[in-house]
Amino acid sequence: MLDIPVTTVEQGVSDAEVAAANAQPGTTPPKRFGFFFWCCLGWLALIALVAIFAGMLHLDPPNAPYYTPIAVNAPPSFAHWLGTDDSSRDVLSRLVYGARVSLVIGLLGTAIGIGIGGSLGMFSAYVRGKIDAGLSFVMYIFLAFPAIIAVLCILEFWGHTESHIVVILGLFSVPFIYRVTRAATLACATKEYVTAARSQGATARRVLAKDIFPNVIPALIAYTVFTFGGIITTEGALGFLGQSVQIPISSWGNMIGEASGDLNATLVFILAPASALFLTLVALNYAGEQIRLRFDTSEQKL
Amino acid sequence: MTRYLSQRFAALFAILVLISVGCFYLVHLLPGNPAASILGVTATPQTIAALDRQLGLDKPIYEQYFIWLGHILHGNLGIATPSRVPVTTIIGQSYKLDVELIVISQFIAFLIAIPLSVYAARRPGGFLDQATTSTSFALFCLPSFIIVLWVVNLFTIHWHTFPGPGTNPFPTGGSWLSNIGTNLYVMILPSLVLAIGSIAIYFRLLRSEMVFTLQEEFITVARSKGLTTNRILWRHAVRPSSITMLTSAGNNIALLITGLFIVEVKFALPGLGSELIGAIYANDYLTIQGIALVAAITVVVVNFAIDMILPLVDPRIARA
Repeated sequence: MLDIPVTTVEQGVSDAEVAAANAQPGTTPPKRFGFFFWCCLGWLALIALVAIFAGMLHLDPPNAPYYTPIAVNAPPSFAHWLGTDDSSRDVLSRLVYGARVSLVIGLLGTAIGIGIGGSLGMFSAYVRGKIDAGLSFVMYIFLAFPAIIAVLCILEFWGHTESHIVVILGLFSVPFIYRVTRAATLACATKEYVTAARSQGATARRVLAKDIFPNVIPALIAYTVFTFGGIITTEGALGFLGQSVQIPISSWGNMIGEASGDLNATLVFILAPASALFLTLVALNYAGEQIRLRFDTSEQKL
Repeated sequence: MTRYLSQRFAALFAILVLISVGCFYLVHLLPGNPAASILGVTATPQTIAALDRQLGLDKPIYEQYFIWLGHILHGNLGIATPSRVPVTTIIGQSYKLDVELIVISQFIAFLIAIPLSVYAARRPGGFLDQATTSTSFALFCLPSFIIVLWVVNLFTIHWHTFPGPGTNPFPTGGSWLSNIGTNLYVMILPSLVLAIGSIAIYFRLLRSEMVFTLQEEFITVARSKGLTTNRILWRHAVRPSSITMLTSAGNNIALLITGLFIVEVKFALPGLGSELIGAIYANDYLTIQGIALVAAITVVVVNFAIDMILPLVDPRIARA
């Protein structure tokens, strides 16, 4: 992805390498999900719930300052659990509403990436031949192009709105999903059950939907989780550069950027969004890795 | 081997052509008229049309592309709008800095990742393996813009170990030896920040490949011949295991550019990222185009170079 955006270990790894990585030598595949996996899911559920029900938490408004001079850069107190920032806005409230922005961008961007990349990958691995070669070549070029440059230009001229960020980061994650789905599809398109279905006269659409898609799902779920983490990271980087959603709207990235440029900022002001982002990425990457290992039914393991 | 080489060269040529078309179009996709932005508020439709004709913007788009391509091949990327400096001059200075950052950071990354993964793979599940694997996972989840904050605060503001943001990495005046010394002293910290993400990626890839290779039969043969563990690890196992890591190093360059921009901004270094953000604010189309072109070509050429190195590491690749 462009550089984008997706920052999983698997980024830009060739099909053979994806297969090799799936084998994961040296580690026995988990029979069941461990304690840490459920901790990760718990954290993700927590931030999702907090983001959804932010309006019901009786937080101070995230964007409106109080104009009380005492509250500028205030340390954590009972009234403001994480203190206030340089414009005397409540940091906890900005963190919670920032989670909304970061998570929505991650979720919708991933949906675009999976929708386009997943279907193109399955299609091109199924038909093969010239269409496959052409599509793969185009995706290869997208991978080579340093996406941050295109993203910065396009956002500057279109405007830094949430929907533009979603569309652009989603589109730039397509090549990664495409490669993974294509590799997974290629692996099962040559199996006997696909040949059997085709010999019985099943249409391409039926084979793709009934025989191939269910076998691609496990890989797709894992990479959905990785892509989600990648898009959140990229949004964070854009926010840090001041090129994501514009202040006063908060996202985790622009909170970190804002705090790092302010010498009077309290440590909590930087630490809060940075830890939220870090914990979310750990949860996503760990959960994704466990799902990938768990549902990996490659022959190496049999 | 000849077939492998000719395929790679054909692909390189095709990609370079497509990238040049992409960079040419990138600017045409953007709203706004370059002539209007050069003339500023005093522009009238007549003066815009006249300048359009002068700049060749009234010609058909494919003709404009070939004229532009001709200029590019002669090393002429145009004149930056606000500063009236040739784009090649602007890019030349910042490109030098970025190449140095990337080279030093990748050198550090390989220097740390390779020995760590080799010794971690020696005993999968052992203490060293668990410690390094979990550390690399944590570093992998830590975005570069968080790392850069801690590093800058600790090493330049708190401890004053390294020069702070804004120090000129290319001093003039001193002897060349002291200039190089100052340069490395300024560059080492940003390079280190840039290297951390790469270390995590390279470590994970090489470690898992090494574990796989160490179960192969030729390793058992080497053991039964009584070779020392170090000799088996470094002479027999590393070479066939390093293909995945090298390929990902190529892809990593495209990703590294995001980290590069963040490091440049935080350390106030005049690299391509700082120039690009400046050019975007100034509506400086030609500089944006030039930077996009140079960055994309760099990524493609690095990947091509790695494709050329791979058969030397593992000759089976060229035969396949």
